[in-house]
Amino acid sequence: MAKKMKLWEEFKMEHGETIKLQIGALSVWIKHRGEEYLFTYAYGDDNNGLSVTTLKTSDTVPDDLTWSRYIVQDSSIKFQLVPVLPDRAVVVNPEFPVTLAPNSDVLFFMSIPLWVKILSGNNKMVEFLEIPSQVLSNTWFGDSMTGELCYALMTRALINVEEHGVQPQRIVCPVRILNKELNAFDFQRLCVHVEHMKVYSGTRHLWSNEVTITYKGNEQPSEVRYIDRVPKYEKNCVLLSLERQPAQKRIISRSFSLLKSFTTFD
Amino acid sequence: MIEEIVTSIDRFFTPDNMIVALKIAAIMVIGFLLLRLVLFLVKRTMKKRLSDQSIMIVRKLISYTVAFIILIFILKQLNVKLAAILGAAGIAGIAIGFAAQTSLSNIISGVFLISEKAISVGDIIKIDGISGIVLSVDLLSVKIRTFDNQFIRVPNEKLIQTEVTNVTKYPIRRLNIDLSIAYKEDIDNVKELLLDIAKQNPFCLDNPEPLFVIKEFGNHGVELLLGVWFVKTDYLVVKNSMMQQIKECFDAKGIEIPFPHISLYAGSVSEPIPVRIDAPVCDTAADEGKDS
Repeated sequence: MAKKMKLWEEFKMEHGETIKLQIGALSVWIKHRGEEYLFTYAYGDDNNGLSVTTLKTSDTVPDDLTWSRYIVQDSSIKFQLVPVLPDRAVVVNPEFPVTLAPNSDVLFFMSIPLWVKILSGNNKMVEFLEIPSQVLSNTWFGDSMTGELCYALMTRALINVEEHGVQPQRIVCPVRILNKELNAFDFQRLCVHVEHMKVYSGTRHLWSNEVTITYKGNEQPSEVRYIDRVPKYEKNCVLLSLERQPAQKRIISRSFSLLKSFTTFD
Repeated sequence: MIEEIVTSIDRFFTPDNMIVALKIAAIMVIGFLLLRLVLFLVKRTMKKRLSDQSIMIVRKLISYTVAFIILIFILKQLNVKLAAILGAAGIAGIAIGFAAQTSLSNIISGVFLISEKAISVGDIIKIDGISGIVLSVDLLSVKIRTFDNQFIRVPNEKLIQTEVTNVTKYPIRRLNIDLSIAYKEDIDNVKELLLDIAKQNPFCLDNPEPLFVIKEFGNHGVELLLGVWFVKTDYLVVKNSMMQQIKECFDAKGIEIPFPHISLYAGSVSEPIPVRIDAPVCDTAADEGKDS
């Protein structure tokens, strides 16, 4: 019988022990052998939830996986899992084009697959491994000469967070969009720089801090503000990880795309 | 004889000459240290603002200028008349200019190349069938390292006159995959499969969208083109994975990739030439005769 442990908390491994981390579609196995740790990972279905399980020797690890070795001085180190947001901006493609009325605002809840950082050490925890819980496809935001590489995410831009259901391997990112123009604003793609956002744990969801994007017309870049506050959508949210790159409080950037495509034949 | 040598050495190592020699040594050491310091500061301060190529040019300009200044100071210490040397240098320059027209042409081409910014250090370029990474863009030539690790020096004059393709100028590129399918295949179905392969490949960008074109009705099948966009660094992984996935998908779905073949018809447009295959004749008697 496998023993289950609490996620996001420090844990130690006994000599000869193997643990399995399940983060959505991602399975990570870590083996403790003497002064080294062996690790490997694989992707499966997206509905496997979130768990850390100590495996008995009789429990099988798939044979076709390639193991990597991590050699340490002190073999009694601790491990900790930390959820983080992806390392590049995410381009959100809502299922349907969105139109926002003049002088209005809307709060969308985007559901973004988490990346897991595995820290190890005793007094000072250092990064041991970082893996996305879901491999996201690459996409390009902007024109072919000056745009930026992002991850593509097809999602429903939901106004009610509970419609996402409880997805422990995903982080809910509140994005408030303000249209201060006199014209209605249509968009098909939205670029969110998640590398500037922190991750919090709530009672039902993992959260990021809120970001506000103010649309100022097609010709003008948008104004982006990262609100450095604990999310207010659930009580007692606890900070789990800091942002990858600190952002300026107010950034002017291109955040929306109306362009469908710019591919041409030769 | 030995006395003469000793006397001449004595004359050379006078206190005045020793002071001059020390001054020259001090100028060289201080000049060299200053040059190193300036080059270090230039590299550090301009790293974020300028490209590697521009930094290299600035560093070379500073090196040559400081070396020239050090030379002037040393000549001054040796009481050499600079006006006469500069005059002679001018005349020599004209003579050298006539003798080194090709080099001058390369230098002028180099100035244009650098100012045009068509290529810079680290770019992958194609020129006359050669592909490689640019190691340096100098005043006389561009140095390239090919992918099979050969060093190639291309004179700037040639680069100016020839068509050069800078493969990595822009951050994303499109991979064009030419395909051919048999006439019996359903093009809509093939299109759907190809676009799905591109969608499932995490290295293919979903925006700009993949391109599907029916190019022509070829001799052996319908010629298609699938264009997928990718980040310039992912070229090999995208090409290999896409080609493999297309082949696997076509094999799994039974889609025929035609190869060059000729069908012969005997007068009728629909009926092929009848071919009869006879059973092989087993000449056992003859074989037995040979054996004996």
